[in-house]
Amino acid sequence: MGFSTKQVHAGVTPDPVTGAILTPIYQSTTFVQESVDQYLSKGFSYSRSGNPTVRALEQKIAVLEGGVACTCYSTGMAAEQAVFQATLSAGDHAIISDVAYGGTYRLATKIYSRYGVEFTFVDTSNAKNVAKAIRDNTKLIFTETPANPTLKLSPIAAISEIARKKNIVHAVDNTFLTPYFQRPLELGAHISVHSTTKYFDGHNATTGGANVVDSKELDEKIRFHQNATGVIMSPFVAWLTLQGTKTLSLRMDRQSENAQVIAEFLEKHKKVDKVCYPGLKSFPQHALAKKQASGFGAMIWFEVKGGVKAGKKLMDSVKLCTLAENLGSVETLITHPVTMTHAIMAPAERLRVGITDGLVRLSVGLEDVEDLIADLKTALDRI
Amino acid sequence: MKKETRVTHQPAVKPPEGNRSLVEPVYRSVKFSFPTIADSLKPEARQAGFEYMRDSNPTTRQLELLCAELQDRDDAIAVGTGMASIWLALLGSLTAGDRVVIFLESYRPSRVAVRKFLSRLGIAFDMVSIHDRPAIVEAFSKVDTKACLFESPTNPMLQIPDIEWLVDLARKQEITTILDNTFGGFHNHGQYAIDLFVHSLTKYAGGHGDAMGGIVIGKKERIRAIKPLAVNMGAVLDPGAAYLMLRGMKTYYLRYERHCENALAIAEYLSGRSEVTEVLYPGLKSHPAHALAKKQMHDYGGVVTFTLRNSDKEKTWDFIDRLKVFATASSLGSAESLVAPVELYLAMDLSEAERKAAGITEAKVRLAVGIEHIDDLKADLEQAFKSTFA
Repeated sequence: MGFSTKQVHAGVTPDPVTGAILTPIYQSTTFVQESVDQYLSKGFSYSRSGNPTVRALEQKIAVLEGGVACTCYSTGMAAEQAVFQATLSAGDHAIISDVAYGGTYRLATKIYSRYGVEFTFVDTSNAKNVAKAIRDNTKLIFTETPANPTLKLSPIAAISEIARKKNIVHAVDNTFLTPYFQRPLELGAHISVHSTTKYFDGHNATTGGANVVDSKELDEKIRFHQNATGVIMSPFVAWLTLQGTKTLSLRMDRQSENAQVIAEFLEKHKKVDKVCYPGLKSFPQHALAKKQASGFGAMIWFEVKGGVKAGKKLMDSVKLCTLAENLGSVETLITHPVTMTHAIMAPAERLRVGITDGLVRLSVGLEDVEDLIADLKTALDRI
Repeated sequence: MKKETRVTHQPAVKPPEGNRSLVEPVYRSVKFSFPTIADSLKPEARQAGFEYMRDSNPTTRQLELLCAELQDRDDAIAVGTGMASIWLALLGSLTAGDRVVIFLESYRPSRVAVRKFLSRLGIAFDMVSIHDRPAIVEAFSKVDTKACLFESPTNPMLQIPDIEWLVDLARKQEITTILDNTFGGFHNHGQYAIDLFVHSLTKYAGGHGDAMGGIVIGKKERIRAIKPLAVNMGAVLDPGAAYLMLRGMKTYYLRYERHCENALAIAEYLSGRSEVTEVLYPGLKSHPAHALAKKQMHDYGGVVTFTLRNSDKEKTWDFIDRLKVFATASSLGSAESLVAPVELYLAMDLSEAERKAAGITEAKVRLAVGIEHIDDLKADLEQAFKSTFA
């Protein structure tokens, strides 16, 4: 079946009682058992352990990723935390992309390091660096590709091969490209991690997360933590996400088309020093982007001339592009990482991984691309 | 304040100046207040303020403004279903002693509303074929004719009336024109001097089959004139449904585009099948009014109707039952593809002679093409053809 068909139909069967074409919102904590002998015969007992609406979304996302199973969470960070919990214990070591979402960095350095887990932040754009960083106690390799915000890519297949040889779990944060453009499990990874808040929902209406895994054993491990810690997705959020997912490929196609046009526009603008978008020929890893994904996504970063001041001026001048930290929705959002998403990072560490003062991140939406370019042009001309 | 009072007078959360939520909140409030009675009586409060949800609600209002703008008009009233919008437009344009013109080629519940219910309120009707120009001229020339309700493309037979001709004729006789534009969508037909547009928002606006709604769109004066009736009828759209419509509208163009692409591909596929004798889709060059449709519309929608060769009721039902990706259901405009037997679902109110005049037979099948991958839709039809016609 084609991706567009799966995104509409997978995981959803008409309600057996009424024929309702959509999965009902099972807003119920408790499920009655017919008898003690038939305990769990219908699959549900308590909504923390499993809920039919959430299960429908889990099944849909599992099918879209080509995975064995999927678990959903209240946020993307909750999903990531479940991966850490399922794979790491005191005395273990994990390797993480040196450019990663600020939340990942916080989860590792501020929380898990307190429980005796060691982390090495590695430039995972080269698989050799990963191989070198592996220790006897390494249990998890967590990559993010394209990485937030610099869009640095990590070679999924090469890293997975190294991980599999050493029995290490390789989890890939696939939020930026979604299974429509990139399929980490088919490239050898064990887990594909998502913030469904972004492209799956796509409408800025919910927060949620998902972990798609390649084996039943891994799913059971992760599901245990999902249930034990209770970081579950609510049935209503699952239902909204089910609905949002139906247009995922349509939105991704249009948003990445828009992003390509905008990236090319920015590259020619004289107030812009540098543009980074995997779809540009000038992108250093353009060949890898083409090889491991079928699309380039809708995230762009660029460097305005004039550092922090120019970046701030741009933020204040745009009208249609909205100043907000989220990404992946139908609205175009613009962020200045140094003052917003990555403010917590030490300046030296920021610079080391390429987050410069004038760096601006753009999450391109569904608007008419002419309107977006007009907005950016007006704002850039003001710098 | 005692805590027992606090639970009903909950603390206000006021974001700092300039800090706004990107998605407008859903206003789940029936009542709205002003600081003083005098404030509530100020002209701006009377015009744009909110008092009671049956009159208006900010979430519903946002949807009204959006739809009006897309349809090239400046005002609208949202209601609970598409049929409520038909009723509002008809009752808002007619009084006892008046006559309304409707067409054989139209949506069944609209015909039933006029023939069965409006007639009880002393409103006469003429029902003619949309292709019968002399009959239309005659019906329009009756002194009591005050309104005309039509569709383009028509449901389920996808006929295309000449809108310019129809509207010009109606204008000369001061007849209110009401276009049920559900099939064409908000981006079509705005250029014509149509007085009122009605839409079932349940279809392409919501687009995900999860909420019902309707809307009447027109120029400010006209909408203002029917607003008291709307408030009195009380067929309001729930703000939760309005929110789902607003959310659905964000992908309206993307979805409509894909619906059209898929529908054209299906229509072309069906045209090449030996089991099919006729395919009705305005986007096909073989459609008798293709040139007219091309002139009037930007694109042709997601509904395709076709005729199975030598098929009686049983065979048609068998074909439909064998489809797996297409679900048997009578709505349209949502992500999922649907299929309906035309005669059974959409024409049981018509007499045999009327059905014949409208071209409706038991061999007719209506497809509401969704946004799935085209290959899967074709494969589904293919397997049903093979097994039904084996």
